[in-house]
Amino acid sequence: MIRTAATAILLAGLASAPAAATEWVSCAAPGGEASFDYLVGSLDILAIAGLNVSVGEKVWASDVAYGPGDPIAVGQAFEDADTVQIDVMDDAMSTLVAQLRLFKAQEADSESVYSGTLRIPDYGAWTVTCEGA
Amino acid sequence: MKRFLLAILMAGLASAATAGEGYICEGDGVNIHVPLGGSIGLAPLGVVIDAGGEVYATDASLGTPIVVSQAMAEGNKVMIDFTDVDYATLIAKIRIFWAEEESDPVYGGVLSIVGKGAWAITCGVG
Repeated sequence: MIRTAATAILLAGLASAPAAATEWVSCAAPGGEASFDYLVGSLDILAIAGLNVSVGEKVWASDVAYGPGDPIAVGQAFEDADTVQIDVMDDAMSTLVAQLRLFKAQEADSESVYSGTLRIPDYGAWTVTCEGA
Repeated sequence: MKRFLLAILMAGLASAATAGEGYICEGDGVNIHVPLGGSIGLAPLGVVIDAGGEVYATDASLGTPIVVSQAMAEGNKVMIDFTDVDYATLIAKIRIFWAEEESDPVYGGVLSIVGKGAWAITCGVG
């Protein structure tokens, strides 16, 4: 009985762990013209589990579970101590859909700030600031 | 009084930037101007940073004196570091990405004041 209860508690903990280990980072232009949201894991590398990109009425999503839109995928992505750089491709991995380039900084007791540029070919380029990082 | 003089100077610098001579950056409670020289590569001629209620400037009459210690523009990145006048202690860092898509370039990044804080900034170049 005790063993069964302990197993149930352990499984409950394991089941909830993945959800707690991911977080949406939401980046937006100051006027809301364009946005770029990405779902990251808690690994030390940049592991992107989901993407939503929008400009005006146009939207893209990496999975219908994350929202409507044309399908997209992560092309290349890299994060180091100072930057986050993500290229998003169409689902055929043949056409660049969006480029996110961020610098990040944290000093004293302040929250980390992430800010940079978002370029969406044929649509435009914007400065963006991110939350949730 | 110093704030008033700074405002006048920033206004003057801003008009110079629109003539194509520098970066003007803004953030939440942040104003920055970096006038640029016309040489090849990134050549800041000075700086005025108003952030977190404190002013840092290469003109010591405007605030805490600092100097441009290193500056680089490479690819779509701009990186500028500022130290004390002895080049001994890092005071501030500006990091900017720029991008363009059938439009004028846009510039976005961060300002760090070591030990004080960090801010998102949006910049323009005249």
